[in-house]
Amino acid sequence: MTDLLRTLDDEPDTPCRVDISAAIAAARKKRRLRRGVAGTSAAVVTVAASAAGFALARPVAAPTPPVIPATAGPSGPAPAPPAITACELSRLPVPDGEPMALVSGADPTGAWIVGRTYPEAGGYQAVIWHDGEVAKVALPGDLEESLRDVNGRGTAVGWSYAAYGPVPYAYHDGEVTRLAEAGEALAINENGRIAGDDGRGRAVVWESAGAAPVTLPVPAGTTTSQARDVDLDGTVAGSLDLDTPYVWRPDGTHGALPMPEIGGTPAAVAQVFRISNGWAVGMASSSTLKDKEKKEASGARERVYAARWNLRTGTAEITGELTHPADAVNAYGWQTGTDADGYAVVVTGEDTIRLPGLGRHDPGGNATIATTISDDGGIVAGQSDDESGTIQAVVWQCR
Amino acid sequence: MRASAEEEYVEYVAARVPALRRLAYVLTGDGHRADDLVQQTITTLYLKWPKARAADNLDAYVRTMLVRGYVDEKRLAWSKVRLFRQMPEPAPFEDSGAEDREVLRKALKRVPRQQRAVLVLRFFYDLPVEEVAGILGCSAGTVKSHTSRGLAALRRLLPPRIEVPS
Repeated sequence: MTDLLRTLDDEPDTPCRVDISAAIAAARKKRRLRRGVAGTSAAVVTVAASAAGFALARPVAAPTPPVIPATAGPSGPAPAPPAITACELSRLPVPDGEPMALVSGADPTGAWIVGRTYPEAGGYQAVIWHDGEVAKVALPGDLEESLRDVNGRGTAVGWSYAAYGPVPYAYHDGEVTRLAEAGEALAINENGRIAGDDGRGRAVVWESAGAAPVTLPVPAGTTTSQARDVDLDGTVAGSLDLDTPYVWRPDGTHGALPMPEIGGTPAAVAQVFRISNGWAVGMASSSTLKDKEKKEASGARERVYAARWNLRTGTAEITGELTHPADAVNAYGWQTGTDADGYAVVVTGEDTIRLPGLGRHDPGGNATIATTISDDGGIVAGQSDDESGTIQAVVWQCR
Repeated sequence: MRASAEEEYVEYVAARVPALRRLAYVLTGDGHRADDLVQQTITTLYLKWPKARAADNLDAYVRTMLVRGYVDEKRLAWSKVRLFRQMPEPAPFEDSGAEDREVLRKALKRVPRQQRAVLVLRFFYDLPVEEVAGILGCSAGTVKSHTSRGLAALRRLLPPRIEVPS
């Protein structure tokens, strides 16, 4: 075995981008920030969490999502969303006192949350949270598994690794359904429509957990397609060839979304990752991978921007408040993500609210990640490093 | 950091970058992610340099940092960067004409992350089970089970002409 693996002892054939002076500069900045922010990080938020014994705040009674009719005109969202000013943090419970956990998805009300925990003995455990309690979900296969999304009926979707790659599954009330021989189920909407891929680079949709997967149509010349999320009305959003933002509408039509402008010029590359009530969020960049390699070889750094589309008006814009693409979007177009100082934030458009973390702040933005946001903005769920730097599943109640 | 210590850091890192890139490449199977991982590792190393330079075995210390950085789920934030990098690649590989090395690299990429790390440490670096357990912060039993599952996965993923010893 050693001889076999040693044949891989070579450097990447891509140009080396490792930059020692950049590492020193980044490390110095990190150290400065670490010293600088001590004691001030909670200035804009109330931190309910004390060092030990987090009271588990039950997600408040699931509110009805403020669905804005998809027929709403280009005048924009009609009902005003409730304003939030501060978010309180609490830890989600884990089974058997497991040491690590993270959140990967939630339904539009925040009443159902999915994620995974890490048993002491190693491996992964898919879990689902509801009514303040955690339940293990036994997905077939004992390699790597993950539930990616759940709807308001408690139907969750995800994948589990078999020896030959990931296999898509749905879960409801103790019952697991295999959705296909291979691929991944990534998102489910309130009607049970599921979006994912076939494991061979093609976007697929399942009309329900019992239905066969249907490959989504793409224009001629497309090599791969990605379905990342499915909206309330059944619209599937994602990308073509990982460079063109794309939607498949419930009426069977499909097409590319406009490129947002970066500094006055349309982006060269963009992808949609999440969609809610006609608001899509994802990434945009001014250069393709090839340009990127060239530029970075010459020392320039190319940024990946947070992009947001309004499908009703057909407009696209860059969200300046976020340094990376958003992690989630809700029915009002509110986004969660990471701000320039590495804090997890909720960006409502009017306000940017910082979310408190469990442990020490990391200016790199990896310490606390807000993975989901409910339609009323009241429940945000994600992960946060505790005092020991270990990831923990958390929920924020915002009001 | 004092100027002399910083020079020492630069000298050490400059000499080790090729080895670190090789390790990162065999772990990630992707040149871009490999460089991200190395960059992240040497950044952390700078912060820890005053302590690290005194380590008995500095190379092993840095290797542990890199492997842990790779296995660490916290770096899920990476996926933000990674998604962008999943760009159209050069012509897909024809299995028939493929070099075994490429086939092996591709197969390794499909083995779950923790198992891949265990296989690399045990067989690429020839480290004993206990040492691998120490690096990954898990039990020897976990290392053994990851090893056997990882090998089984490779066996199924690789064409028969590439033999995976048991």
